[in-house]
Amino acid sequence: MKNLTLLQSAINHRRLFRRTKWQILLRRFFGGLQSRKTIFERGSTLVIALGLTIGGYFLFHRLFGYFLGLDQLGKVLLDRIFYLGWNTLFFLLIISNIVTAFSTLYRSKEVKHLITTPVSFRTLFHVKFIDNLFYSSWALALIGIPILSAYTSQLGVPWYFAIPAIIVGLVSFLILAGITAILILMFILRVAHFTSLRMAFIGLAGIAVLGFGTYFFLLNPPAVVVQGPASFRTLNQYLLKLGTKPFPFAPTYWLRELITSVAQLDGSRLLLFGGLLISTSLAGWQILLWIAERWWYPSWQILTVSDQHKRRQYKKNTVRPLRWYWKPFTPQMRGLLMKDVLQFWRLPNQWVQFMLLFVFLLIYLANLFNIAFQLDLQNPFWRTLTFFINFGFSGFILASMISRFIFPLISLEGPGFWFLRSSPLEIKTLFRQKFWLSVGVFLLLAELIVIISNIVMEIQGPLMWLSTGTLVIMSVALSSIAIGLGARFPEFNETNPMKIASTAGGFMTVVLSLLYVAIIIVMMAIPTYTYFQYLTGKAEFPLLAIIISGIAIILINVVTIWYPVRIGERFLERFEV
Amino acid sequence: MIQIENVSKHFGDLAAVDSLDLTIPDGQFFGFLGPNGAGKTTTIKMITGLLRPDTGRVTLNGIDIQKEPEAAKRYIGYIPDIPFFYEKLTGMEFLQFVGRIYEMDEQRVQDQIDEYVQLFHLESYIYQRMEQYSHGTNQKIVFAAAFLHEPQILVIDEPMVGLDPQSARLLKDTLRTKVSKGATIFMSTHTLPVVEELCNRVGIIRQGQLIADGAISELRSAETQDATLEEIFLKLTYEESDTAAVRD
Repeated sequence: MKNLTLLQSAINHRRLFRRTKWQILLRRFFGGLQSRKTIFERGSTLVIALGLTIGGYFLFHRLFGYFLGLDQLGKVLLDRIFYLGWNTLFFLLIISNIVTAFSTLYRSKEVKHLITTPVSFRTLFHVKFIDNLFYSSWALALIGIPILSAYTSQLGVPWYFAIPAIIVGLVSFLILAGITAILILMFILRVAHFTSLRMAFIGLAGIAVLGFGTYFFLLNPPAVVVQGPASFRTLNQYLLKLGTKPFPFAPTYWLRELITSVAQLDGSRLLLFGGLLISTSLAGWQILLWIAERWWYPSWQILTVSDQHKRRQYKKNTVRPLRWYWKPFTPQMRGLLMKDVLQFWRLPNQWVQFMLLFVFLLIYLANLFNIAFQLDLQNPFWRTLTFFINFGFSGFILASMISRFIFPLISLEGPGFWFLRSSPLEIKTLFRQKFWLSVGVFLLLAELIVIISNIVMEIQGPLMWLSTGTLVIMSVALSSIAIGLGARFPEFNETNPMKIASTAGGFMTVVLSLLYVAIIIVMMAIPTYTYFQYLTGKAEFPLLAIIISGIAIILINVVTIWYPVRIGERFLERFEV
Repeated sequence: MIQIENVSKHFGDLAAVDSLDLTIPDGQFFGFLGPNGAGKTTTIKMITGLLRPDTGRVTLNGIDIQKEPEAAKRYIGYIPDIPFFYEKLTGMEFLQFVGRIYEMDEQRVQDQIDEYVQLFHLESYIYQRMEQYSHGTNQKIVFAAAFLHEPQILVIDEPMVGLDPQSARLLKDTLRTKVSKGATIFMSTHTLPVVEELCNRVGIIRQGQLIADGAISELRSAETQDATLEEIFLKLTYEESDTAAVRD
């Protein structure tokens, strides 16, 4: 009888925890839907997301179709792009999960509160893990869906096979990245107990750089010279010989095998790789929960207790004569800039993400150097194509980084907004400061990427000037979009920049920024392509195309630079605290 | 001098502040009382420019806060009821930031910070991040920040919350000194003994309307001679129905 009562009590507890878990999750995703504003915001996000997915599908479908049309070369190239793209996506997902988890699983006030309630640590961790997975993965999943759909469609997979394969593949892929990230983070925090958090992260970044360096060194392919279409056969043979060197234990390999097995209607491979993805995700999830039961709460406590006991003194760093580089700024601008710089370095999720993206950029440049060194691209068509791909990538990186780091800046003023609004600070000054901070930092970074990559690819003269000049205008326009929309859709109650960047406003910023970059590149590419045709005697001098593109670029930039800042400024001026 | 002329503020159908008229001359310590939700914080937010009045205007030393906000705000120091900060900054960095926003000379900022750090005994905390502060220490930093540019007008919402008795005494003395030097203080609080001790004029607001205004002695003569401020406040702000509900 006593045993029966105990069993009943255990069952009741389990039900209670299960209910709690779902209550927390449902509140997270569907909370606030009674408000018209929230319904409108989420509805608009959904419409934009759908539009982006459908648009993306057609874009990738066309792109993949183009590659597949290039005889043998296209298939190999597409294969390499698939591996490179999905490995990059996996890497970005891990970064995104680590950065968000740092605040979702450790620093969140909600966790602090829920720890005092009778919810088990396992349930709490579980809920926050799902929460984290959603926040970190939705944007990248949105890119993944059209890519996989277009890829399967080009491989001729019927839609009724493609949809289940994409769902299984993509969901498992996202879960595996999330699990890997949280395991890494928990490990870092265990190590950080013996040293400092900063050192633990720097150590990890160092290991990552070494690992990638070794990988590229080992993959160093033999040199080949491509001098023109006549050499395509050589390039074909070279690429085919080089083949793809997939790592058979990587989720990207399983995903690719799953998709191709569906295309080839190969049942045994389909079962093997589909099963591998599902079983590894489920087993990984259970292992994560098992480890988290032992590691998560102790590491949460270590972090909280160390926060309370550290009481770090900053005396030496704070009181010193004003450095020369601060002197050109007005006192208000100086104050705001100094505050933002200090806050950035003291928010680990900010600088860690910045550092990892920087490492990612270095890897990209190393890879580009490798390609340029091995493939001596002397043909103007290929060189121009490579230039625009590289320029597009630089624009994409610039847009992503500005949306990620600059959009949340106004919202991050939230805790002190009462002070700013009751002080003699003009909203214009606040905007100017954020604007110049963004332009200053990201222009420098983008110019460095483009100049280094142009030098590596031996691009000089008009294309060098065109790219460096356009990036100046692009960084100004992208900063304007991020700051303007950041002010128009502020999240003053949120202190996690990653979550601020994941809101509807953040999403809109990413979409508009990418759209802007795409339009500018197309506007530049059309006259440049015709100009190269003219140089080889295949076309007239493209005077009209240059004039039309020039006017369109000027008009687009005037609107993009002026309008977002204007609406953001007007909104904040009328905003009541 | 603070002038509130026929000011109203509505949130939907609710009249948070309804045709409020008040003039607080220089050198006066004004206590602003009222039950929860009476409109005290809304009034304070309109004085500091955080909210815009629907009708009427607020002027600080003759300058309209809505028409010339930057000029008017130079005169005020504001202490909110729940101050949130940039918690990654140290107290010193925050105070230096405040000095720069008020465009003060760097040396003067440092001199002022040193003075208030000493006054509020903040020496051992000032170089720590504010996320590690207790509520009381936070409160002291807010006071130092509000006093830093030596404002002529101080607008204070619930000043004593979280302060230990020694710090509360110190703060009361400091506020008294400020008033004696000509500063105007507009203070909202529920701590009635503090009002009795410090304020030379009291205003009571209920459902957005000013229902009493004058020196405590004037309010007292209107009721009974021996009544405490608490008794006067309860009598003025609670309806018969509220009293009956309490009695039940």
